[in-house]
Amino acid sequence: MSHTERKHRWLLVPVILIIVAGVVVDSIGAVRVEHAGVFSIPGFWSVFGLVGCLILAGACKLAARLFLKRPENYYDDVL
Amino acid sequence: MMMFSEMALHPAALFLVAALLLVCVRPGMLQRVLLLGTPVAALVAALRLPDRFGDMRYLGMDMLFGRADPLAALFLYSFIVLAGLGALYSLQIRSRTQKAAAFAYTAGCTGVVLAGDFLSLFIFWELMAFASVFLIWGGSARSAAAGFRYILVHAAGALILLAGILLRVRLGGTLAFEPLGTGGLNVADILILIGFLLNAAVPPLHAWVADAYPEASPGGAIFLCAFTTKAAVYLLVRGFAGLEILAPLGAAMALIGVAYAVVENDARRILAYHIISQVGYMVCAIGIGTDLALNGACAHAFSNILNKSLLFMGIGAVVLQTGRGRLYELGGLRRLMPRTLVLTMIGALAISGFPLISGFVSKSILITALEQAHRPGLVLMLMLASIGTFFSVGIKLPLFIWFGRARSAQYGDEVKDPPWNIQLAMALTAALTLAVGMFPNLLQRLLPYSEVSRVYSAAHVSHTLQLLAATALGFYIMRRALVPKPGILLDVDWLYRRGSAQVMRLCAGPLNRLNDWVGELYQRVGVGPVQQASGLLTRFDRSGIDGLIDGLARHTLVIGDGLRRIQTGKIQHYIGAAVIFFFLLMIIVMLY
Repeated sequence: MSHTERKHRWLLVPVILIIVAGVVVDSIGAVRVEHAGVFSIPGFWSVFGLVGCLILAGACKLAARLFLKRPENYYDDVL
Repeated sequence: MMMFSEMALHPAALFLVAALLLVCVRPGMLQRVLLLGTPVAALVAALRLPDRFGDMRYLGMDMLFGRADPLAALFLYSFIVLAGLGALYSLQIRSRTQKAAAFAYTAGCTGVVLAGDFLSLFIFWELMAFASVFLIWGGSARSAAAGFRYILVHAAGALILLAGILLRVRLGGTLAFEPLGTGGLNVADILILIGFLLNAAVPPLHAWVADAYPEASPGGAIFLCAFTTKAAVYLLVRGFAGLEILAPLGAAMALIGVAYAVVENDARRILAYHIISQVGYMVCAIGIGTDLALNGACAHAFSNILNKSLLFMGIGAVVLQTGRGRLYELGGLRRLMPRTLVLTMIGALAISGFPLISGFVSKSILITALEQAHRPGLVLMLMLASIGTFFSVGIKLPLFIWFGRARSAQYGDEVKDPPWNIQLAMALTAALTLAVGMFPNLLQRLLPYSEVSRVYSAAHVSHTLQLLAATALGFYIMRRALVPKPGILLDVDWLYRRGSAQVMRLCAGPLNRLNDWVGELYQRVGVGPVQQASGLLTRFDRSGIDGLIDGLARHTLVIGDGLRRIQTGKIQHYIGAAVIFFFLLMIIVMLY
C-alpha cells in the first residue's frame, strides 16, 4: 500500500459509519416500506450495494477487456 | 394591455427571431442582451400562455401549435430555464453560428413540447435535428464526422416518424397528438414509437448520444444533453404512457448506460452514457404508467436536465481550460480549479441520488412508484444502475480529474477556474439543484399528475445512504483495476462506422470473387453447353427439319410437273391410256 493510499484510508471511516448507522436504523424498525418485504431486511441495501458494485464493475471491466476495448485510433480511417 | 394579455406569444417565435438576429449581431452588448434577455422574455411568455392557442388549418389539416397543459408546461419551463443558463455559459464563445444554432434548437424544442398535432410536431422536430448538428460541428476536430453521423441517424429517425404520421392519417387516424395505441398498437403507432425511441436513445438506437455529444462544443453540449432526449421523454409520456414494453426496456437502458460509463475513459463520453442511463429510469416509469410513475418520470426529467447540465458545464470547463478530455490525461486539478470541483460535485452527487439534492427527490418518487406497482425486479435493476452512477460519476470522474497527479504533461499556467460567466451559470444551476433537493414541494407543485409521494421517508434516506456507502467501499476494493488507460469502447455505432466498411469490403472481396466464380461457372457450365446444344439444334433444323420440308416441297413440284406434262388435254390420249389400263387390269385378273 502506497503512502498516499495510507494517507486517505480515513475516508473509509465515514463510509463504514454510514453503513452501520443504516443497518441500525433498519433494525430498530424505524423503516417500514410497503410492498417491499425483502427490501426492508436490515442491511439489505448495504449488501446489495457492495455485491452489486463488485459484480457490475468486474463484469464491465471483463467485457471491456475481452470484447469492447479498441485502440484510440480504431475509427480514424473511417467516417 | 387587454389585447396583449389575450395574445399568446409562442416562445419558439422569440427564440427563432433571436437566432436570426444572433447570426447578424457581432459580439458585444447587443448580443449579450439578446442571449440573456430572450430566455427571460420566453419564460415570461411561457408563464402567460393559455392552455390552448395557435389553432390553424393548413391544406385541409387541423394544426395546433400551442397546448400548454401542466405536462407540457413542466418541460417548457425547464427547457427555457436551461436555455438561459446555457446562454450565460456560452456568453464568451465567439462563434455566432453556435449561439444562433443553440437558440434555434431551443425554438425547436419548445415547439415540440407545445405541439398539439403531429404535423407541427414534425416541423419543430426537424428544426431541432438540423439546428443541433451545428452545435456538434462547433466542437473538436472529430466533430465534423460525428455531426455527419448524427444528422444521418436523426434523418432516418425523422423519416420513420413521418412514415408513421402519414400512415396514421391513411389508416383513418387524425393528426391530433393524443395518447397512442390505447386499443393496441398498429403499424403507424409502432413507427411513431420508433421515432420517439430513437430520440430518447433507447437501445439499440442509443449510440448516437455517446458518439456525437462528447465531440460538441462545451457550450453546445449543455443544450444537447438537456433537450433532445428529454423532449423525447415528454413525447413518450404524452403518447405511450403505460406501454408495458417500455418498463423492462427502460430498466435495461439504465443498466447499459452505466455499464459503459463504468469503464469509459473520456469524461464527456461518461456523461453521455449517463444520459442514456438516466433516461432509462424515465422510460421505465413511463412503461409503468401510473400517475405516480409518470410524475416520477417528469420529476426525474426535470432534475436530470439540471444536474446533467451542471456536469456538462463542469467537465466542459475542464476541457476548455486544459484542452484535455480523457481521464488518463487529467488528474490533479484540485488546486487549479477548486470552484469547478465543488460545483461539479453538486451535479455528481445530484445524479447519484444523494439526499438533499434534486436527484434524490425524483428517484425517490420514481422508485416509490415502482414499489407500489409491485415491480421489485425493476427496482433492483434501477438500484443497480444507481450503484453504477455513483461509481462512475460520483467517484471515478472527480477522482481521476481533480485528485492525484496530472497523468500526462503538467498543466500550463493558464489552467485555472473558468471565466465568471461560466462559474455563475454553474452556481445558478447548482443552486436550483439544491433548492429542488431541499424543498421538494417546489418541484412537486409543478408535476402534472395528482398523485404524489413522501420524498424524505426514513426508509429511502437510509437505503440510499447505505447503497452509496457500499458503492464507495466497492470502489475502494476495486481501485487498482480502475486506473484509466487509453482506448475506446465499441458500441452499436460500430455497425454504421466499421460495420458498413466491413460490408463494403465483403462486397468488394469475397462477394465480388463469388460473383466472378459464378460468372465463370455460368460461362462454362451454362453458356457453353447451351451454345453447343443450340448449334446441334440449328444443324438438325437446317438438315433435318428444313431438309424434310424443302424435300417435300421439291418432290411435290417434280410430281406436279410430271402430272402437268401427262395431262395433254387431248381426248385420244386419255382413251388410249384408259384402254391400256383396262388391258393391264384384265391380264392381272386372268393370271390370278
